[in-house]
Amino acid sequence: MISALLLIHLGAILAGPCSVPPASELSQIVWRCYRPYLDAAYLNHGYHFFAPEPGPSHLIRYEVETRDGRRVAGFFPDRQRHWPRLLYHRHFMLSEHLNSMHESEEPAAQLTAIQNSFTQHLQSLHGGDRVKLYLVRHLIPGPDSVAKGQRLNDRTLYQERWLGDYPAIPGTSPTQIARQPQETVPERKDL
Amino acid sequence: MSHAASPLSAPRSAPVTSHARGLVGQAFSAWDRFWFTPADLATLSLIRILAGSMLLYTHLVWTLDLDAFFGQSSWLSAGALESMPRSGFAWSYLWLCDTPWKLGMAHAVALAVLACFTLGIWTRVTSVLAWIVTVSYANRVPMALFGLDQVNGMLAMYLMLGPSGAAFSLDRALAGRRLGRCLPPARPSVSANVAIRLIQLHLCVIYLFAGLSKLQGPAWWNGTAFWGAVANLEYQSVDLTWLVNYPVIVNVLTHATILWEASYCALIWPRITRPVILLLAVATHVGIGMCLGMMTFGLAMLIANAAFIPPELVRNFARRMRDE
Repeated sequence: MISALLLIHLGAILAGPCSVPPASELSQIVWRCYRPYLDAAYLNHGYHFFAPEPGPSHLIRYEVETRDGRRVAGFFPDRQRHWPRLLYHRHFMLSEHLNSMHESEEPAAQLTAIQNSFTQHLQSLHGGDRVKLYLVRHLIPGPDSVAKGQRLNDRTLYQERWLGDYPAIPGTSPTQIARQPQETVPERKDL
Repeated sequence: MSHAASPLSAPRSAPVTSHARGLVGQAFSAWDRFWFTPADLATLSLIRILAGSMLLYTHLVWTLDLDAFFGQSSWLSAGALESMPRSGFAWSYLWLCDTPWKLGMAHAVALAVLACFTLGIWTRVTSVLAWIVTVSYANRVPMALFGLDQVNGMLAMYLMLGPSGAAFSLDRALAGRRLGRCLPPARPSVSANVAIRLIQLHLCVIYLFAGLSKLQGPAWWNGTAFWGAVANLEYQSVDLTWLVNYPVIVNVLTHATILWEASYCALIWPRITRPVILLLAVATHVGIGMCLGMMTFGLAMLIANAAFIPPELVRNFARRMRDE
């Protein structure tokens, strides 16, 4: 009996990583069978660390328009504000997960719900009425560029994409998550 | 009447069948030995202290921004989480904490549980509660998690299965005090062995898929992936960009990472290669921790690797500490 339970459990911890795309139909079927157990036991993981490649990192930049007319701008993760390192990493994972949802083209309703949630938090934090949200991709410079003197926070390495205005400005849609042309952000003095 | 067996009359498949039966018998014996040999509790109890400390630290850090991650106006509202594709089996008691007061009280109780678990107080109960705390917090903020939480969850689950409080614990110290004498080491336990084996095998799965998944990326093949990690400013805590002048070192570190991860599940078992693999684990995870700012993840992985430390070593170390 215990041996049978052990075998089932071992199958479960293999099913999780085997189901990460690209995955076979068989892997997906097995994973779906195990999913209730994996989710209940918090074992539903792929263990794809820095895989397939270490890619660019992502930040969220925001502009909050407060009720008294001020503008509060910020971004996360922010090493100056988020300490200790684990707390910084928690904020870092928020922006990274949001980016991976955009890259895997999750349904628009889901992305809107997440972005709405982010902006509502920012609104409550800063007492703001309107929030502009931007996803910032920080590219990794190649070794040749760094050898020639390029710094890791060179402004040309940042690409920004507008995610939306919250709440919606009449005439625009808050679900402005269509793939807009990427543009280089202005110089980031705060980095 | 007896008659000698004639080779002409014996069926040809008999030696094959008996050989196969022998192999199956050996496999079952090996399985039984692997899982059901009673094990000294020292290693599991050491892991309890270390993993409990990491769990306590992880949840202490949540305290610094508790409302932002778990409150009513948190980064991830109930509606946001409902929009994510989930099976419905990801549970969390934190959903019941719908006021700041309830959240604060629940968090204080969680920290107390993790502290008791680490110290080995009412461990049979606090080990289960520690797992409940770990899973609940993780399921409440899925977008703020990373490898640390996956390892924390794994360790919390297996520590709950074995008698992790039977050694190096206040439970044990207080039991001795009640009897008025120092207790001998607790008897070896089958459940302790099962818990340790599960940690060992789960670690093998983690490293195997961490290595195999990297093989899908060209940078891991052409030896430049390590550069992608050191040149990432958001991760960087130690500047290693001077490696740009030593591309061969970058290649070596890139290839060594994959080789070590992919071969871990095979080379960790033989006694002759185990110390080398464990030393490489220390080098890798301390390096990741110091240079990429993920010390908590690095330490959590090293704590899991402690499952391969023989209990005699742990007891000798504990004895030396006591004598000093």
